[in-house]
Amino acid sequence: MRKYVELARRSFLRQRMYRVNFWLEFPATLLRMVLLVCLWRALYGRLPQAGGLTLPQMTTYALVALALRSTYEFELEPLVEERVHSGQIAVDLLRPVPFQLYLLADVAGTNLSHLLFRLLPLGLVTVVGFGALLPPSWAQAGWFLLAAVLGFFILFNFFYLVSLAAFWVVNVFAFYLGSRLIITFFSGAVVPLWFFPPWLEAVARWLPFQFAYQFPVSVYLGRVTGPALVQGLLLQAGWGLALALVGRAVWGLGCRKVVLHGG
Amino acid sequence: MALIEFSGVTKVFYVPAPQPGRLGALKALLRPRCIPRVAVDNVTFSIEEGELLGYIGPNGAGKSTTVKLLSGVLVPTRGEVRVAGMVPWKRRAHNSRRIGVVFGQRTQLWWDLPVRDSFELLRHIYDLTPQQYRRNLGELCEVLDLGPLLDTPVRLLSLGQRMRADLAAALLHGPSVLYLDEPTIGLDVVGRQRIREFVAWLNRERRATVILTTHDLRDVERLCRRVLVIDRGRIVYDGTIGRLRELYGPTRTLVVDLEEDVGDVELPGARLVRSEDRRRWFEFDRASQSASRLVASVLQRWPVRDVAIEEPDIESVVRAIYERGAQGEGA
Repeated sequence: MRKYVELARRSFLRQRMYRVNFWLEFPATLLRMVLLVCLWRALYGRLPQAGGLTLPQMTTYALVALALRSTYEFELEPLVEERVHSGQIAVDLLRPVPFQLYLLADVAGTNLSHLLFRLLPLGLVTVVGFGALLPPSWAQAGWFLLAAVLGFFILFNFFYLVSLAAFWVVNVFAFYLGSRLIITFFSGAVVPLWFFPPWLEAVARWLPFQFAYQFPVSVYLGRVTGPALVQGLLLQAGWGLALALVGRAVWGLGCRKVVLHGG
Repeated sequence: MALIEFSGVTKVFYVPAPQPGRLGALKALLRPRCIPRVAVDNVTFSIEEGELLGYIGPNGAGKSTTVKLLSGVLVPTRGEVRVAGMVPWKRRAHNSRRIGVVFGQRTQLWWDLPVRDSFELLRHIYDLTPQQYRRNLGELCEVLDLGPLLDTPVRLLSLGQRMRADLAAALLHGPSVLYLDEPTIGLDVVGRQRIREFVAWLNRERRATVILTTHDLRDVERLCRRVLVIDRGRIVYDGTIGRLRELYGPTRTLVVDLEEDVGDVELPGARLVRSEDRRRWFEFDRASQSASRLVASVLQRWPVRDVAIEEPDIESVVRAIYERGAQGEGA
């Protein structure tokens, strides 16, 4: 366990070296927030109770989802692609640490840093600057954080799985774009699933992606409580673990290909 | 039983073949056709504990594949590899704690971290106790002279410095078996010399079993008693370095840069093989002629700007082995 903490700590500290990034990204995110608020105001001018949400709830949803989106960072595809194609993967294979956990620790450190230096300031701005709603209670805020962490776990394992495509294809860029498109659409990160036509919403309900954004943000808004909250958290953990196991199996196949047939 | 057993090992890679025709690219996408390429062909050798083995061959001969088979990164297509009684690829994680591997063309350091931080991470990855870590690091720092580099980020190191740091990284966990895959590649004379001294020290003081892969004959000449020559996946020589020298190249070449063109020249004990402008190449017998005496007599005869002695390179050794049809001792 200690080694993973150390790996995470190291990547956490590495993020601190890239302070310039923060000052470049922060204003850009603020601008996007302004645009989102304007957009939803305009839309709500015509129908004040769309999707069962009031305008303040909807703007809060959009702002919190955006804050989460700017917090999570997974750039696994280029990393894995580079290692597989250059043969550097041999070095990873020779370490007494599973590659998946190694990456998880590394990405967790990065995202912990983002939690403190992106999510917190952005959250402050959304509440103070844009008048977003606060979670109904401290407890609900805590559940939101837990849901966000589990959402991170789902996203990590999904992107890890996508990045393993590098074992079979030369250029994973299409997978990189495609996976992000799927996430953006099916997770409710931009438009909540409540606005989807019923058949599409049904599809989205059976996919893990809503648990990455829509679920945590709904927890934030206090729309999910009690048994539904517990069920949701369990489903999140379940999806995360399931994806992790699939990723593990696919990694095994990829390694087999490399070790049996060459890169 | 020997520490490392490599018996009848063959490794075949499948490389995608380009397909002919206008729709070739499409066909290759739908139904890739792969052609087999034999990287290591029925190779057998064994290594005793404490040996320092030189493993040489031209580029693409199968050296790195052998190292990967030994370390467990690759699974042999046929044959069996055993290191200390274990099959490396089956117990890769376990095996990785007792071996140290350096791939000269790669690094296992974190490029944006200072060297010390990389070492710290490795300490945790290999679950070293603080005592083990301090002892090993202290020793390696001293022998490899790493002290001044510890706080430099890896990306700012020169190639020679990085190689020293990488050697230390591979040895931090105190492995007893070492696979060094071209650790001297791209290094200058001083850098090479340092690495050689270090490898000698490892084998002598730490009693480590070392396989040193290189395509530079001088590395093995300085370090190894036993040498394996591989070419196109086959072992073409397995024996002592002394015998290899007798076999391949009884000759060395003396290159002389003259101050002025003196026309055709002769040198007793050596044969003029090439002449270009003011430069002359003399081939001489390694066993019967002393290089220093030849140089002295050259200096006596003509005004000389510069002299150099060239050793035969690995390609010419392999060529010589083929020409003689020699198989070496025990191969």
